[in-house]
Amino acid sequence: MADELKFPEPGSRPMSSDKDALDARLASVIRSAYKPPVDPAGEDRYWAGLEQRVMARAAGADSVESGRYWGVLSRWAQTGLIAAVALLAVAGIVNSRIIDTDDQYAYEEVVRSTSPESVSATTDLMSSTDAASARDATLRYVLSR
Amino acid sequence: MTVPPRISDEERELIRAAREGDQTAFAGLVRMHQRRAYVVARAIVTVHEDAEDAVQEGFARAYQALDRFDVKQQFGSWLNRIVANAALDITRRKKVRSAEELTDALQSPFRDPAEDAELRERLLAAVAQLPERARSVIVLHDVEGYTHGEIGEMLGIPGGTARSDLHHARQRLREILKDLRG
Repeated sequence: MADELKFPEPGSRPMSSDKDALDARLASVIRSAYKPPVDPAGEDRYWAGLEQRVMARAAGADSVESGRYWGVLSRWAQTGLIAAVALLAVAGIVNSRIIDTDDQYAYEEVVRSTSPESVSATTDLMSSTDAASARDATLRYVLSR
Repeated sequence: MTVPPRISDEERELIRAAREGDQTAFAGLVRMHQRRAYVVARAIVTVHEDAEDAVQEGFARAYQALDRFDVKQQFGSWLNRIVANAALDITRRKKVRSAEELTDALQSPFRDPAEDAELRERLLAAVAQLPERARSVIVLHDVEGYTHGEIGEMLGIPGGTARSDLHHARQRLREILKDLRG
């Protein structure tokens, strides 16, 4: 269709006029050897068939391309998933270490803060015992008089 | 002076629709450009089946890259470059062109029976012996009538390189033909 509007038919362009050019007969032989096949049912039939094959190939390439696109996405998704799992595992380990350290600090803090109290409690206890003994001794002394 | 648009309104509309995923619009672009794409591919690969393969691969790549096409360019030139690259990839894969393929080319059903069979045989054998770029340049310029600049754009080389490649390719072809005659 518009092939003829914009471009001359293959081989219908004016041939080179330089004297070095191929002999016109030789050019004609090559052109006839290289021209596309002519379908006995009509020239257009061959081109219609080629058009169909071209469209089938283009559609096939398109689906292959989109398959490749999804394939790439899928590979990225796999990589992302593996990275996320690894990240979670590392985060879990770090977190558990932080918790352990906190527990240790808390334990040490408790031990450090409770020890003097227990000592003082013991001291108090001993003091109260001593006081009771003193009271008993005083009472015994008073009674013995 | 008004510079003529490098791309027709119809083509621009088809490109816009195809970019949005309209396959019918892309089929319109295929119909518009497949003949020239075939010629470009055939100049590089020489064998019909490979040329068809390059055309299909080229259009498939163009469909994938449609978003990157700059509408200030000519769509045909952009597409031809992609098709030429697909054809060059095929020739790289099939680096050594076998004698069987050459025979296939000679037995192609597309030849004109009125032409001298011996001349055709010699000429095609000679063309097949050329390195791929030399062959592409000579076919695209001397047979199909593309300019050095257009060929350079298709093959990704400067126009001046296409011109000097053409000169050397013609010399080489003449030498091979002389040897074949001898």
